[in-house]
Amino acid sequence: MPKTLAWKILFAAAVVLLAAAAAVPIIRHGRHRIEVVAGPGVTRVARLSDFGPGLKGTRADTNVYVLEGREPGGKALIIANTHPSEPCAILAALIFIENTVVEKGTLFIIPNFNRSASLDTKPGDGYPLFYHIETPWGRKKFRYGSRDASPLDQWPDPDVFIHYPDRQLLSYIDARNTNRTWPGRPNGLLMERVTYAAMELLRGENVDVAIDLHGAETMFPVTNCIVAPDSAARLATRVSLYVKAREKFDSHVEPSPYGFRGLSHREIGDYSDTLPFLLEAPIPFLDQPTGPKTEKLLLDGKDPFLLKLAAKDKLFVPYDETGWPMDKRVGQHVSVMLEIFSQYSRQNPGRALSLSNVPRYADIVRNGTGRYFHDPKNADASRLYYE
Amino acid sequence: MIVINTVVMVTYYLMSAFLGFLLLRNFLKEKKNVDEMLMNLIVLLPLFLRLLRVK
Repeated sequence: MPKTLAWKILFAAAVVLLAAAAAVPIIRHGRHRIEVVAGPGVTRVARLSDFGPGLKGTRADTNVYVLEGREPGGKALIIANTHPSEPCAILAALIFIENTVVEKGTLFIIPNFNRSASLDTKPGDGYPLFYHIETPWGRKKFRYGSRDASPLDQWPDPDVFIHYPDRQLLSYIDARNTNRTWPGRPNGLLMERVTYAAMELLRGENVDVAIDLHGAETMFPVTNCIVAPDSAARLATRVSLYVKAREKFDSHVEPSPYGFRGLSHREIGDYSDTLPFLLEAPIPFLDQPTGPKTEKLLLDGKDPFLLKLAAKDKLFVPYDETGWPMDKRVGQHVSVMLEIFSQYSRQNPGRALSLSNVPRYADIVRNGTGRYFHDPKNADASRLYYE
Repeated sequence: MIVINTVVMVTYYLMSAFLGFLLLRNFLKEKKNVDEMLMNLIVLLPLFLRLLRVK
């Protein structure tokens, strides 16, 4: 065999191996589907494209779980995975989907709002591809997604993202961020079509309350809080006081800024009659000055560098050796949502929403998040959905 | 805007395919310089992954 041919075969084999080593884990990540067992309250599962046909056939189309009560009442929408890199949101949403019984009113739940971003990864940031939640029947495996939609689905990025309809200039990357593209438009960029479809759901179904679930860095001031516009501020304040008094955790209220456009807590209130709330739970994993970005850090939130920063009063949340575990974050989200529904129902008895069989903060911290997920192997196939 | 985005995206895939073809051809035509062979393959890698819509 000539020497050059031998080099060529060797190099080609090496490059194919290199490409495969890079591609296979990413392909496996994108193909993994999270099994969801529809609980007793789920009466049907719609698609977001039912409300915004511009999503049909795209990777951004996603499931909308509908939980209708025996009696009519108020309506609420829970949105999770606006940023799939903030996993306490989808975990809290799945607890509702798999367990809730609705006595009065209707609950809409979109557990994977930015589905395109959930199929993408952040290998450049050293993020793990998956995380696992311990359950009584084994470990449940979740994709760990990116903050923004995949460039495979929406590309190229503009130099500057011009928000519609306010024309505010935002960072180019926010064109793929579903918490900057509200209220969206039917013929806009793919992520604008995602938020537009959600707005159509809110307006068409006369939804009373919308809750967008998030997580934020401990070094970011808007963390561990409820963000609400003026129209929802009184209710948010009451919720904050109740969870502090009854359940012994903090979730303070932050006002939704008028001048910062594209955010759910701003635009939902401005472009519909729905009261919007955005919940933030602290995620130490997302902070910049931490150790390696491991699955363990994502789940237990324990980091020695953040501990040193906490001693110097550089964090916006209390932080000690116990870290900020996932169960605590999920529990906070679930309890704050239940309290929002409870307070709204008290103020609007004609539009009340009555739910049962949902654990609260103390239950989730004591038993673990996984305790509330059901074994897909024992589920009826007709009740099994995939995210 | 959507039309322009789609045109740019399709053009980018076509450019990736064309550049990939040139790089592969250069790799096969190269007879002596081992560095050149390797460089052509390494540059081909991201274009190849993009064409397969992996990343």
